Amino acid sequence: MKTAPDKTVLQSCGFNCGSRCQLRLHAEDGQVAWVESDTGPDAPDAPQMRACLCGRAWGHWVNSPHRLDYPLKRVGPRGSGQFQRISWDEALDEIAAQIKRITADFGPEAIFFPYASGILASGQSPLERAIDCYGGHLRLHSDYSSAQLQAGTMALFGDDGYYSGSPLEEAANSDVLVLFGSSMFATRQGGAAGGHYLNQLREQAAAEGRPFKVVSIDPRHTPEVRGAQDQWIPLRPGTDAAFVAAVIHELLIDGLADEELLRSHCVGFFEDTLPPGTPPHSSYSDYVLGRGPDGTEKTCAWAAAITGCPAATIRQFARTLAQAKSAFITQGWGPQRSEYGEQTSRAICLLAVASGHFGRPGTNSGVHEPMRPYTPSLPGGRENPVRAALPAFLWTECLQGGGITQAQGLRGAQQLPFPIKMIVNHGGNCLTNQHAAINATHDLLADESRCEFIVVCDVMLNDSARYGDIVLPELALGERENAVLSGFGDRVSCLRHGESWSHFTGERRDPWSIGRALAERLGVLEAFEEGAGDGDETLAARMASEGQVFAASSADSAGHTGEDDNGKAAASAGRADEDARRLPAPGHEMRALRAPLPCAYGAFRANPTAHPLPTPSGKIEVYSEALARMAQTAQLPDGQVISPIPAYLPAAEGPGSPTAERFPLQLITYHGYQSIHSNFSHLAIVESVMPHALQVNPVDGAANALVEGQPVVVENDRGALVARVHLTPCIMPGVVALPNGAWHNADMAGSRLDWGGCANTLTSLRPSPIARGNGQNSCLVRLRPLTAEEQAAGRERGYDC
Amino acid sequence: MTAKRATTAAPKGAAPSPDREQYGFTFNQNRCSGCRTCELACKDYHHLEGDVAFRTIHEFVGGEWHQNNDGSWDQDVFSFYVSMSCNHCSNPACLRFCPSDSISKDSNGFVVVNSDTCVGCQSCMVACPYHAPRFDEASGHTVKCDGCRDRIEAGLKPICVEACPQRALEFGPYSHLSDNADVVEQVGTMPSPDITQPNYAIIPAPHAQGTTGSNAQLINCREV
Repeated sequence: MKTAPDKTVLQSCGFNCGSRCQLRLHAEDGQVAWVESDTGPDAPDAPQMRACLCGRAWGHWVNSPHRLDYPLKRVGPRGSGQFQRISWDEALDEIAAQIKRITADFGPEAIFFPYASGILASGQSPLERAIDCYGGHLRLHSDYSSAQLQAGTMALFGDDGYYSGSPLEEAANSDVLVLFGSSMFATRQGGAAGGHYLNQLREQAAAEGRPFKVVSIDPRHTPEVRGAQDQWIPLRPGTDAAFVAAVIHELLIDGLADEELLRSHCVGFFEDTLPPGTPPHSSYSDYVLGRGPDGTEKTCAWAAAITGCPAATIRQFARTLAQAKSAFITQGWGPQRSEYGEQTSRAICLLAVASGHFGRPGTNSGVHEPMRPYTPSLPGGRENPVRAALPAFLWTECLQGGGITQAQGLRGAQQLPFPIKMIVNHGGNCLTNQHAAINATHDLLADESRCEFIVVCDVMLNDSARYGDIVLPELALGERENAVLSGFGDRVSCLRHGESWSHFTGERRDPWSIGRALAERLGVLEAFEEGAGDGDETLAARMASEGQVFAASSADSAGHTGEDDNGKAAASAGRADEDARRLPAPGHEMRALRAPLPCAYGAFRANPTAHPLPTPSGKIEVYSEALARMAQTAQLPDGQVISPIPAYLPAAEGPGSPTAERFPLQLITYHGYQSIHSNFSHLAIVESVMPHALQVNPVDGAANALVEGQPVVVENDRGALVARVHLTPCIMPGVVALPNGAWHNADMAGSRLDWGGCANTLTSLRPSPIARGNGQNSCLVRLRPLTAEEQAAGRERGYDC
Repeated sequence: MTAKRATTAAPKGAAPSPDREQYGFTFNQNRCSGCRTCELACKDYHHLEGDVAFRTIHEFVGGEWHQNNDGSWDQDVFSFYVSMSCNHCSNPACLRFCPSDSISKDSNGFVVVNSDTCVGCQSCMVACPYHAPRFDEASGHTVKCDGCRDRIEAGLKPICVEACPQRALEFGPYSHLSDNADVVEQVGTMPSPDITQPNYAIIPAPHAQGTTGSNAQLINCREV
């Protein structure tokens, strides 16, 4: 009888999606028989932390065929996936010896931890902590999520945009919600996250008879566009800044822009607020009014040809903004993940300012909703002594030649003394799958004269793990006793004490014990354990530091606890202070309302002198002198430029570029419901409910004689993949889209045709100019049917074609 | 919606017990994001392999694209989802067409298959206008949503209802659920509720209603 399992285990789904949903694992005979989630009280401001389909697939995930059970040593060529089982001692001895050798021969800057978020729910990687205690390693700055936005808002507002936006709750005071490439449903899937809240906002407005219009500006139609009053405005990927320029042009010529705000709070929107010594006609207003160096007026007709959005629609959108009482303008991280993502992200933010929907109730600054504080690192350890920090995306460039300089985005040092010689990839899939140009990247990684040693520590043998010289198997978060804090996107504070249960774990180890064993071999155990101890002490230290963050991010210092009663975790309010300070026992959690967050830049808007921005001028730098200087010194890829203002710049691979003659379709990737980055993508149960497919507009389908469900080759000069066609009017003609995170699956010694449909087989290593970030959404491709040879090869692999 | 409409077909088989109520589902189309969590939770709980699913998400899309002379595109695209399982109809076609009398309505009004007597002829699959019964290759008989009757007896909700991150699904006595002027039993290209009297009430999205809704196309036929 399924209602009476052997044991119900309270756990967390701990991936980097923004949520930490509750899992209640029904364990039978050492297996997860099925998964339940939060069924406790459900209140608008304290919502249940219901898991999405990924969390529900956790039982299928934890022991899936790709699960790593034993330490492995590579026996074939790098990336071939040929391994033999070795002992933990052999693995750790080898890793420690390599760390010592490479630190001695090349310096700690030659050891690199690529961006990874598999360990995020537990704070810093213990492997990194061990190496920091020894000699340190090359740092990285920014990430794969929002590098261009961080750089864009840093220039405009003086902060990286992660924490400065208005919370979505502010939209309760808005009558228009403008989403640039943002799907709350897809990127915040958990039941306590933004998608659920958007539904509440809509229903609340309807109940009170208030207008609430959602405008989604996105190449894909997303479910946020639901009501009769809602609007979808599709744009060609990478052209948002042209759209914004035309909207601002429209506002200016009609006298509908907030000129007072643009004059008093901004630098360089108008000519008369440009910094002294700036060349004339460098202002944004001269740019849009046709008095800039390009001499082109940024009319709606101009933008229509570029963006694919009719001039009348642009005009009408400008009216919508002008007539709105309070428009909440936000952006996802897809638009900025393009060659000129800094321009895109800055332009969207500028629209909020220029339209006056900024710094007042019901408005936002144009950035994504702010992150809530999340899992802190454990106290103690030693700070990484290395100052040099590489942009997260540039490690392949570093493998190619080394010697990366400040002019190429290096921070903290003039130049790297050596290229990367050792990679420690802990809980990440950014070596290949989630990086870019997999075929070129493979060649760099496979060449053992470049990077001499690669360590992988992970739960799954994903595509990146195949490149490990040593692969270490770790226990997943949800299969060990743990302390887990709410995610940065959860609308409720929660501290959960997860339990372990009896099940097959092979020789998987807790990440802390792996780091500790490494520290022991490096002779730095004392520093490693400082402040955090081992075993129960470590858990207690983690619980204590997370308890502090819990208290700080909750509505009141008391919060309230919810007891796990017969497998049901309660989120009931109203416990006394003393109770709330008690940390939860195993199998229990405590919850509290979230502390409210302020409207973005409200204080600055009200009094810019008393509350200046952290920019050099203290104002919004529409014209950025810092970027003007960078434009003089930066070493950029061929043809790339830096603009001090958020002007539209056409990408090397964009609509109308010369490359489009051969590869006429723009490929974008999006957060599919079926994965959290690349996690869960490989599971049969997930594929059965949400198959990976290439979204193609029926117009392009007809032009390419495609039928629904047919396998097709998507290709460009960097590679080729196979995907099934899904014909849908929900994507703009000229654009095709793949859900991100599909597992790369190719014979790298042979055809290299990727049967897994991983978009990064096709994407480019060309970094963006300012952040040096990943611009995967600037990617041109073409479609063709499979050849007879390819069909035969596919059938041999069991691919139905 | 008002009381059940008449049907031309004669009911067959047991009605819910007089002291029990007919259960059913509601679906708030304005909340659904099409994420498939309901479907996956069901498959996980009921251990359904391969393509077998008791609940599926139907994606309806309507509207046209038209290119202007300047290369820009006009469109009037809209979409909505229908999350559908067995509708535990008051007059189930599957039951009427089953030659081995293996389908019955239980005391809660759930339409259930007796796998001991089901011969796997798949007549019910042909008869059901909602494509609810599925053929399970492994066991050789028909399988379908049983309303999570074990869970209902234990005082729980069906797994799909508990799972929906958007709280779009609800479950309860159907007379209560359908006693709401806003709900309908047919949107898009769904069959007329007159045929089987489904116990499935939809709070419809604006575009799902009327002629607009019926002009939408089901675009994920392979998945449902």
